[in-house]
Amino acid sequence: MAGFYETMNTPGGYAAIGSIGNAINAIQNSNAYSSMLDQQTSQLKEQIAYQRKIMEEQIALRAQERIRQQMMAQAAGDAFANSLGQFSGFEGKAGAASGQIADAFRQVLTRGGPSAIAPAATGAVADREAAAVQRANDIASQDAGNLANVQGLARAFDNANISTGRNNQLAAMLRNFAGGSAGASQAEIEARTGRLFQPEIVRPMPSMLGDLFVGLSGLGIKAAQPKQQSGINYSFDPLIPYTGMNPGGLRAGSGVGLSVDKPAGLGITGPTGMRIVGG
Amino acid sequence: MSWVVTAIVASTATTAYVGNRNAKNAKKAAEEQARIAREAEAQRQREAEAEAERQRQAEIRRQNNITQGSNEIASIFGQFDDNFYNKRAQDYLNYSMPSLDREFQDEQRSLIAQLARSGNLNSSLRGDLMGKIQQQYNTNKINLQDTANKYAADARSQVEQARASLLKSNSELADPGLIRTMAQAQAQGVNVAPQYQTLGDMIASLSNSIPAAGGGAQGAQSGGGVQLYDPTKTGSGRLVS
Repeated sequence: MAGFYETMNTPGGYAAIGSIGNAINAIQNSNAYSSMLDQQTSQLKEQIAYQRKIMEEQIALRAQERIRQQMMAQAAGDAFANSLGQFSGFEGKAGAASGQIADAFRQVLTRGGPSAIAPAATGAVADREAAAVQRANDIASQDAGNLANVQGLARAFDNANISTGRNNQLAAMLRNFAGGSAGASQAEIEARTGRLFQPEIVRPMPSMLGDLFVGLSGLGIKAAQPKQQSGINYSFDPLIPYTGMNPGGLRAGSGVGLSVDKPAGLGITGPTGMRIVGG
Repeated sequence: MSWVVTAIVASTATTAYVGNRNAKNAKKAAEEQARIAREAEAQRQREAEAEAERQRQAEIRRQNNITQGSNEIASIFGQFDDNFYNKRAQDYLNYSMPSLDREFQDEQRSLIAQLARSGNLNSSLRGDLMGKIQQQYNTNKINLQDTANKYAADARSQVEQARASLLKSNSELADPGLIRTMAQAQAQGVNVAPQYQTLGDMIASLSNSIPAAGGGAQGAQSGGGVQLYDPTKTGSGRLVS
């Protein structure tokens, strides 16, 4: 046993212990790395499943909204088509309106007026008077007809404008509904866009052993090279010409395989300036 | 120096044990963190979905309110149909036509009297003048009907403006009760008959175009016409129709 202690209590022994530690360290880090990959894989699977679920829900929501918007657009289109229809066959509509107005004029012209004034004319004078009155009535009928034609056109335009205005009001209401529905739909879609959509994966903590054993192996190396001065004595760099058991590539404060994932301040770092001198 | 080796070996074993335990703990902690993150996210999402659902329901209520308000407007303004506008025109005719008839009749009487005075009661002049006065009468009847049409058109325009204004308010307010009240008030305003313009003289007098007695075509034939009244006797001289 004493021989073992004596053997181990040498720079070579320290390096051997450090190498064993590093081997353990490597195994544990490897396990941790493997565990981390498993966890990341699991998280990725979970994330993909989540994304698929969200996408399906969002697609369904968009489809629902599209149907709503299409229905409203269809109704607005019908209103617009109705407005266009107001101006088709316009001559007929103007003619009908003219007819209505002409009827009103005719009624007012033919309505019973005040009773005749006595004494009535007789003979040729009566005929002349009747002819003059008839001529006046004919002129009035003609004037009324002309006026009815002009006003019929105006009334047909008026009617078309009223219908178009009402259709525009309906279309405005539908646009209002479409805007409100789109806003509600946007909120529905955004509500399903979770933070897990972001590439944010919870990462496992790195093994704390790496730094410790890297330090320990470094101690042996430093003891074997006492002339080397360094601020961080346990640093082990592949550039250092050492051909011992340590596979190299280990760095203080990094650990194996977890260099990217290691949170600042976690883990045990080797003490700066620590040195074992002599045997 | 054997204690140094013992310490290192013990330290190695302890560290390996602790490290292993810590690694397991770290894994558990990571899993726990992931679980908490998932639950927090699920909770956030539930709340966001609930809020979105509230928004959707609010939007449905708003649209229903606007639709209901629109129906209220249509119902209240349903009274303003063709019958309403025709009545608006007829009201004006009922107001104006008797005045025209009165003027026409008065002018006819005046003409007959003047024709009688001038001895032209049964002359061709009578026919011409009666034709002219009939023309005036007819023209005024057309004018009155035209004005009546304008009153009806104005009423229609007023109704459509009120309806458009109400629908705009309806879209902004989405309050059918308030819209109903507003629509009723607007409808009452539209229902008030307009102020008619005064009619003035519609038929120009033609009496002055009749030559005085003895100066006309038959003036020389005194007594040729029908004397309806004796100007030397007292009396109103008014013709009785």
